[in-house]
Amino acid sequence: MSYLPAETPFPEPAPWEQAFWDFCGQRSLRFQGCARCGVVRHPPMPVCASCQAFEIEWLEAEGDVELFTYTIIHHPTHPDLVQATPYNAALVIFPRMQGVRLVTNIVDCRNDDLRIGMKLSLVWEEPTPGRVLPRFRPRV
Amino acid sequence: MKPNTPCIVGIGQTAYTRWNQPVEGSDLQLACQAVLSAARDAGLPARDIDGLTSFGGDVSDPPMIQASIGIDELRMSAMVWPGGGGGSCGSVDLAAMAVSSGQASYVVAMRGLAQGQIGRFGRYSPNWRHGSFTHPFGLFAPPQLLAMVVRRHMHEYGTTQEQLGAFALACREHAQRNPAAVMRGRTLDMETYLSARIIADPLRLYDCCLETNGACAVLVTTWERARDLAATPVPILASVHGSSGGWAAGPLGSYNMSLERFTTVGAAHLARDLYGKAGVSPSDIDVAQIYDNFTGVAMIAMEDFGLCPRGESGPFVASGAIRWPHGALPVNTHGGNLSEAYIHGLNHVVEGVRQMRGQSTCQVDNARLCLVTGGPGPAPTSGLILGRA
Ligand SMILES: [Zn+2]
Repeated sequence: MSYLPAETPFPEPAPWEQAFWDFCGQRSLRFQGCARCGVVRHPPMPVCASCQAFEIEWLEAEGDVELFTYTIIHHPTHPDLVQATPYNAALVIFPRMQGVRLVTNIVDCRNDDLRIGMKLSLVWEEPTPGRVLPRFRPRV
Repeated sequence: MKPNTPCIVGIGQTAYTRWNQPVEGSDLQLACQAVLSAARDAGLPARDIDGLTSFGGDVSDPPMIQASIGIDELRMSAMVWPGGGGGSCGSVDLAAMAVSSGQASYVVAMRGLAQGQIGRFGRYSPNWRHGSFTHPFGLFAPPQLLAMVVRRHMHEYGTTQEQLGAFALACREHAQRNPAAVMRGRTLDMETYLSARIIADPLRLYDCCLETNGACAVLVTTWERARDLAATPVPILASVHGSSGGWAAGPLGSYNMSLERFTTVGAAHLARDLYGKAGVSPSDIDVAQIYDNFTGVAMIAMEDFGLCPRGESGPFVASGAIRWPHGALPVNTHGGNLSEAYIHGLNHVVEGVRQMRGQSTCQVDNARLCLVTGGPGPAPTSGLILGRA
């Protein structure tokens, strides 16, 4: 059982985005960092915007995770999600990894209980075998 | 006015209809109708058009329009990079640059769309930048993506649902006087607004722009050439397009704008340049046409362009300031994308010209300066200041 249906679309990642999903497949949440200056970014990009280096390393997520903003979707626009409404979509930030903007869903939380700034913990969900998604639940 | 000051000398538009109404012809036919009607408005033979511009992945390409309407010598064609409707004013910016530099003489900025044929923007599309990071989480379409920014603005500044509603109501009220408006004859009150279905909280049905078929176009030439044409020229006092650092897809999927700029549309530097070039300040603006894809982001654009202080668009809009005829700064006097038609904001440029000609159906008395803005959220975005000859 996962937060959204197994049929939820999963478009082909860009070449420089693929490694993020490969790490998720191993249940490892890693973000792209610049191997030269250390600045971390997500979504992944081909070049470091701080020092223009192409060399990258993949760094394990660390520190608190915080709900930055969210929406509750009542009109899904995709037929496979009609039964799932109303569901939330959230943007979470990692205060110790400042360039990270991760879109996800908040599970084990009623939509009415979502609060901007709430602290979150990572949960892995595998809606279809081999497709592992990072979701979050309120930290207890 | 300098001889090479760019001026809008012709405006044209087709009928505007709901997306599900049948369209005679195609996107190309609609675009051709609008281009020809802009030329007719200016009193310029269509064959003398020598430049064509558009924005946001327009499907009607210049060689097809050239061949269709019989342009013998095309000298420039260009499009502002796709960024949804961000480049609406940018397409006019390109036309202005072309005529001022002498690269071309008569350039038409145009936009045509038959949404029933090319697909609705509100529907699921698999081709979305950073899609693998948004789609698996059920985040697909602009209202959902941008709702995140509006929710955050509410959190930071206390903006309320009723304040968003006040923007929607003002547009709808203005549309009642506009014979071309798709929503003419369908009034909207706050109770109906608040009880409408939620699309992506906090955006409700009437916070979202229409989806329509139609086209419009504006013809740009220099002040020097404008004197020989039929219509009163409307000078383009300044025009800009661009985007902010790190913006990428911005609130349309990457969210990698800085957290400090999260509740902006990334247009602060463009606004600064725009007012600087025109030699005016935001308080000089008499009327504004603000690209309204969604109420909340249009209101944030008003903040970026200095029409009210940062964070105060909610109270500003709710005070009635944007309502014609008594508000201090009427906004979207044609009804906007919310209530006139969704021609990706080029209809806002057309309305700006009408205001400067004194021909709007919600004419602002003695209006001398009109601000027009491009789509808020996407990158690039854009803006124009129109003046009076
Ligand atoms: Zn670097």
